Amino acid sequence: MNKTLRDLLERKSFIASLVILVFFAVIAVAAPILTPYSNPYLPSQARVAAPYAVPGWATIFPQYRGLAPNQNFVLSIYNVSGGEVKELNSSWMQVSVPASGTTNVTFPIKWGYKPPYSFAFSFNISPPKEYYVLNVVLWHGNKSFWLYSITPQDYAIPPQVGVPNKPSTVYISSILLSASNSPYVSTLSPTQQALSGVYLPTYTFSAPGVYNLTLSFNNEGNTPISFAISKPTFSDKGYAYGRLGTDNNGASVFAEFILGARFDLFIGVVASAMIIAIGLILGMLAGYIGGKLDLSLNGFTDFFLLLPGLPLLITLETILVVSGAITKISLATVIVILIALLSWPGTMKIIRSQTLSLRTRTFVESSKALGAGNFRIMMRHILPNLAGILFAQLAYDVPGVILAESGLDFLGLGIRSFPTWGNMLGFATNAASSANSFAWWWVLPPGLGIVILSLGFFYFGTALLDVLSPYRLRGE
Amino acid sequence: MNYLVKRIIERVVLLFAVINFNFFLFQILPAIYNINPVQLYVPPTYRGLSRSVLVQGLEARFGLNQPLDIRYIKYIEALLTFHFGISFHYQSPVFDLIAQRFPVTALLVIPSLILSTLLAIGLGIYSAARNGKLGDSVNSFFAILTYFIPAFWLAAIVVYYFSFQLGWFPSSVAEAITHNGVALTGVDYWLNLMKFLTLPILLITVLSYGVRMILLRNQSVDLNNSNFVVNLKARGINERRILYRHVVRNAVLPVFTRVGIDLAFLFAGVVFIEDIFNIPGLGRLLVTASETLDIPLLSADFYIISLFAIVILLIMDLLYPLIDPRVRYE
Repeated sequence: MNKTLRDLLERKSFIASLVILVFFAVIAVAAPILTPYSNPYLPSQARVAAPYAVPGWATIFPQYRGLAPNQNFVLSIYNVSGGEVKELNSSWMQVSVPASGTTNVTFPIKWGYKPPYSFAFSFNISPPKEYYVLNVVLWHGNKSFWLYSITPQDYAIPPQVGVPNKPSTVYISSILLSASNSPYVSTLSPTQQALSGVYLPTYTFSAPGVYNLTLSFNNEGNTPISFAISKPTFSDKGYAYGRLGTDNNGASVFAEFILGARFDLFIGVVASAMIIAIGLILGMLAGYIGGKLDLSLNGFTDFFLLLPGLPLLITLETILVVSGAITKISLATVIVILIALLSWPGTMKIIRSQTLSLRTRTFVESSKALGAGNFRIMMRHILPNLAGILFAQLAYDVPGVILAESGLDFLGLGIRSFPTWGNMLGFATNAASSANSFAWWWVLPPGLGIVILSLGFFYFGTALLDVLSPYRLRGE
Repeated sequence: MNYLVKRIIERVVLLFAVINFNFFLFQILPAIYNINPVQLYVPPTYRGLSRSVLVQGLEARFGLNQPLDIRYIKYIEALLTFHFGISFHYQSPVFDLIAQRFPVTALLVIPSLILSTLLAIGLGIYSAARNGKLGDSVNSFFAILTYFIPAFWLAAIVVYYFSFQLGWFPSSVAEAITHNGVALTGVDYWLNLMKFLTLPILLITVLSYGVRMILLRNQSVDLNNSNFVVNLKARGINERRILYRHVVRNAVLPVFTRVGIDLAFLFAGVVFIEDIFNIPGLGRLLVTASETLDIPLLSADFYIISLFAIVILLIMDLLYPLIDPRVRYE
């Protein structure tokens, strides 16, 4: 074994393939740690950034320069006019407003990007019992946007906030602002009002610069009042996201990629194990027993080789899906079983030819002469000598399975609800042709993943075949 | 001659098995699972007729209400006479559908098969001559790489860059064969059609040469170590001459066998290229038929593919003695 291992490690192609396989295996196993998403195709896990957001690192290229990333930070620097602000602790502060007066607390926001996809402010506020109006205004130079107004609970005009002296959360998002709750949006034209979620970020954060968020506390009564508020949090969803950007639904492509890797690797290995099992049984029987059995099994295999694989796969899937046999087992299982049932002939042929050559070796002859039964010879002599080829063939079959499954997904006939590499490619190319937008960060990873993983398995198999075949069966 | 007759009988038996399997697949299997394929085509109601009446009408029209044994006889009869009936999905005779699409796919497959074989032979000889050197490694690596490139992926990228971005090639058949909305005729028609088909043909070429190239290379390397080559080398014959005169001539034989097999199966196997380029060929016809469980079309298509494959393989059997003088059917 030591020598075998040394032989293997001497091969550069083996080392390279090992690196590839380990890389994908680690990705697959660590997927739940690497990404917080379990299925980015669920609506609840989409829109993590703008649709078609480029990868974060791509902003070094000139055409993507200045695209906003996702941000989330607390605005802690502020200046005050017309009142007093006392810090209660690191996050809360108390704003005192004189009778009939106005206190403006202004938080500068340094914005160094192009307009974001959406933005939001949120803070907690514990309002006083008295009457007040809190206006939220975003301004930049001489342009100001009166985004929102907050009034006491029993005020006639919405939106009212909270119970007096109890903290409640105010969340102002460009997506949720509309003509009914935002004074600024109601000044826009009707078309723009309808699309305020789209226009608002481009109007408010139009260019890099310092923007100011002013919380304007207006005391409507005759006694001084005070508010307790937390420092506001600014967040935005941008056009640059994560390691691999987002797809047309704004879901993380990185999450899709590694979940796809996990799935593809899993079904690849499972289906090839099934292929090997079928191929081994039929191939060994045909090769070892020979005669009429060989003729019929070989004919059976030739017959399978003659059938067009993909259409047969689709037909069987259609029949099984329509019939409702699918309700008991998942579609993925059905697809894996069908792929295995249709892809064994090549493997069977190889195992058969190897068995044929092993059958005539002297150790088999001598074992026979000693009176060993056929079953014992097959198990004790043929099978161990086939082991190398079986492992190699396992590696060789994985790419075929992955390609078949991806093709099915690409045509929209496979698993639709979960990100596989084939689904990613299918959706990405569909989106590219319909919207004429080619998201390379979305199209390239799954395709490269398929090619690189397949190459890894291929060279892994080749190295195993070269080293493990006891009689150097390759090319014999 | 005896061997050939045996071969033909074997292949005909195989074809018969395929025919029976197809009948099982398309007629018996749905019956086992209690699926009436016709039901996939019937709307909940149509012009006041209830669903069951519509189903019955369609069943009568397509002969699906008959018992299986009668359907079997009719099925065999259809295959022998090439009267395959009417397609569920396309509502037109199956034979016409296949006959219309066959030349389209042939236009795609045959040029790419010729090109890829030439490419495979050229690069294979290059690799064989530089066996073990860097040139061979790189060359072989790229050939193996092509096994694993998903056709739909590469095709989508290529279409995007060359058709949409750079505008070098028309992006659809309709765009290719019309000019300002008027259909082209004569030489212009063919020139523009071939311009459109250039990309898919090149893609199929690049994606399919690998297997044949590696086959040629490995055969050549094996032959290089065989006794007769060692003998030739010992006689002091020029390496180049040995390679071209003796090694490649022998190594090319399995490549031709492979071309035959590829020819037989590529007709149904260029589904993805046809899908991306929106070419109405046999592959897409077949996939549409499978998706819609279009039984007349499916049985005919599967039969034609198997028949085509068997005929090609038989022709290869007949041609082989002409290519390889060592093979003789006594």
